[in-house]
Amino acid sequence: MAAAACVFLAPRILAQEREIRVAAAADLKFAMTELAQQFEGQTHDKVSVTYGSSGNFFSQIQNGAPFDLFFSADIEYPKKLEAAGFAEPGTLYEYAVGKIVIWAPYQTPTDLKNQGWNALLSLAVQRIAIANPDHAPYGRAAVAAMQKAGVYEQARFRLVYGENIAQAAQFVQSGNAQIGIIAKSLALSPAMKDGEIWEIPADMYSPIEQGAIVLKSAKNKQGAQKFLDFLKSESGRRVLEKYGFALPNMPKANSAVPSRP
Amino acid sequence: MSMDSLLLSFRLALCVSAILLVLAMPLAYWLAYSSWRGKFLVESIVALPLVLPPTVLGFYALIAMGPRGPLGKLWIALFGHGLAFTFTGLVIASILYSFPFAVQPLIASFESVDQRLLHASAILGAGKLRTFRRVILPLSLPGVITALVLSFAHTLGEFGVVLMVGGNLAGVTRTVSIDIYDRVQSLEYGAANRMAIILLVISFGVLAAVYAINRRVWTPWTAK
Amino acid sequence: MDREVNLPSLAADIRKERRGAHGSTFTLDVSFEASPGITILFGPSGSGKSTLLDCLAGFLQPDDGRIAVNGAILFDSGNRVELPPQKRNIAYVFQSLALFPHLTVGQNVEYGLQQLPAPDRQKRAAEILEAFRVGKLKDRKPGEISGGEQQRIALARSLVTRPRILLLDEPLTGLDAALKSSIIEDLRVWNAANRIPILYVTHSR
Repeated sequence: MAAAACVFLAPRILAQEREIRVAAAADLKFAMTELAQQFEGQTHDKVSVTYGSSGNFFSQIQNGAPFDLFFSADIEYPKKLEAAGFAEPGTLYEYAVGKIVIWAPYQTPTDLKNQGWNALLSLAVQRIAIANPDHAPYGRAAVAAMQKAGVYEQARFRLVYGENIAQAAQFVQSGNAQIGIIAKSLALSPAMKDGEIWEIPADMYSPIEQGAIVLKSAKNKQGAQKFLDFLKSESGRRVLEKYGFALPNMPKANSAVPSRP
Repeated sequence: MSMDSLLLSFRLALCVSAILLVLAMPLAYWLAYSSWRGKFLVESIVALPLVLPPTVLGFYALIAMGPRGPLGKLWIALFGHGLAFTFTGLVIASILYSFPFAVQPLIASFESVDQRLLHASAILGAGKLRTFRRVILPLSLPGVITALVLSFAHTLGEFGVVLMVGGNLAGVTRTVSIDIYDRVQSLEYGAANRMAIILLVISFGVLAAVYAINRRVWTPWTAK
Repeated sequence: MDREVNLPSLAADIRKERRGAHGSTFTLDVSFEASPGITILFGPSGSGKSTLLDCLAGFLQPDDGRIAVNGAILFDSGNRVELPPQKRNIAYVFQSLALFPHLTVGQNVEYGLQQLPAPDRQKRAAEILEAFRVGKLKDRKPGEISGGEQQRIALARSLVTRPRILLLDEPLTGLDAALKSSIIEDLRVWNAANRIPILYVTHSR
């Protein structure tokens, strides 16, 4: 009987050890899914990802949330965690640079391609969705870019704030907001294919440096490091690029030309 | 510390509980006194918001209020703009969310009125409306107050629904629960704590009032 | 005093099946007439007395039958006539009295007189309260007065509307003999001036 119990439990225990639990910022939804798929195909480790706002994860990790890896949309959070002793030393890594774009669904009658920033002020637009600038890096970048473009003072009365960048995207995608400034990674996803993208020049906002750490309290440090290494590899970087992220030690992309696969 | 979000939450809770009382009374009356065998179906639907996650409710409310949803289309046709991200949109979503909290205490109260009192009223010539006004309602006052107070308190503490349909606009949809959440996200723990404590104290006061009434610490007439 | 012509004022013919506890069924099957004056319906508990009164009042519908008061039809299963209790002009004092606990004695008694203007209402109410010797209790609440006084007020409330018949379900239970006789005497006096059938239902002597 005990032997049967061992046989039954053993694979489960082993499986738990081989599972890698990842906390990932909302804008990584589509990129991370593909990264996890590829990784699982190559190794036999299982990656389970929880998406949410980086600020939330920051609080939860300090209170014992059981993750192995944390991919934040804002490198400040992992830096703070490292300073407070929650990170495995030496694992802090800037894995991507986020980009923001203006996105409008086809239903919104603005000529985004030619209008650019002016589309935000069009009569057809009652609501502009962005992430909350108080705590979301994509929101801060959106506000900075709007200010640089000189449209912020007029546009601010139409703004609605998503709790995270994914909710901001959802507000526009559902039609409740007519236009939005969202992460390029989300704009390139299949769910957002029925709309136009206008890429915002990178010099209009501070780079959205996205950082990751392996957690000190991780149950599966080995697996976490393996996955992080995968992201640093050629194939990992290709996936990130595909989903609209810039990579830190690559030459800066030409910001004048909007690109779309 | 800005009191805007707290005042907004109170405004929302007041509007919602007042409107809810008006909507809930006829339904509660029907559920208490009808002998239709399909009553249990309606009772289950009314109780749904108790078990549905608020974010689910909020999500579908967002869809319904959007330009492709039934409510949204109607609103745009009438007023030229959408319902999401407005105070009115919050009120409507909150009414759905707090619905059972108004209906159920009313039903319990109505059902507890001695049936012979209703008979006496009828035999003395009073129609249904008069019986309701002069006998059922005065004797159900504890239930009415409970319904009011519970919907008020429940709306005060609402988060998931507001998160989904609010858009976090200061003074319009940024309720105190969202504000507290924002502060935590921005690591402003001091401000978050202060707001949370005020909310806690007020909610406790409201609940204490409800239970005092229910324990007959106060009644409007001498008990028999 | 002239000899009264005893015309039947209440004619009732009722069949009603009721489900009892434990799945048993019980069928009430009665046919009777009642003239002005007190008619006593006597039977053990469970013999259907309350069911009969509820049918007469309109709170229960007989499966089959006919109820007429002074020739006016209140219920007729054959012709599908079914008057609601509000329109039957019947008085009914329940065993529990069912006085409205949140209203004063005066308001209780005036409850059935809404169609009258206020001065007339108050006058009639005062008169009947005097007739039953409880005039001074007008502003009290039912919870503040004795059992005997409550009974008188219950009678006053139901009779002030000048009903065509009065139904009494186990009245005056729990009162001592002297009090009982006193109340019954006042009722008789009232009945002498207002000749209606009074159905007095009881299981005790």
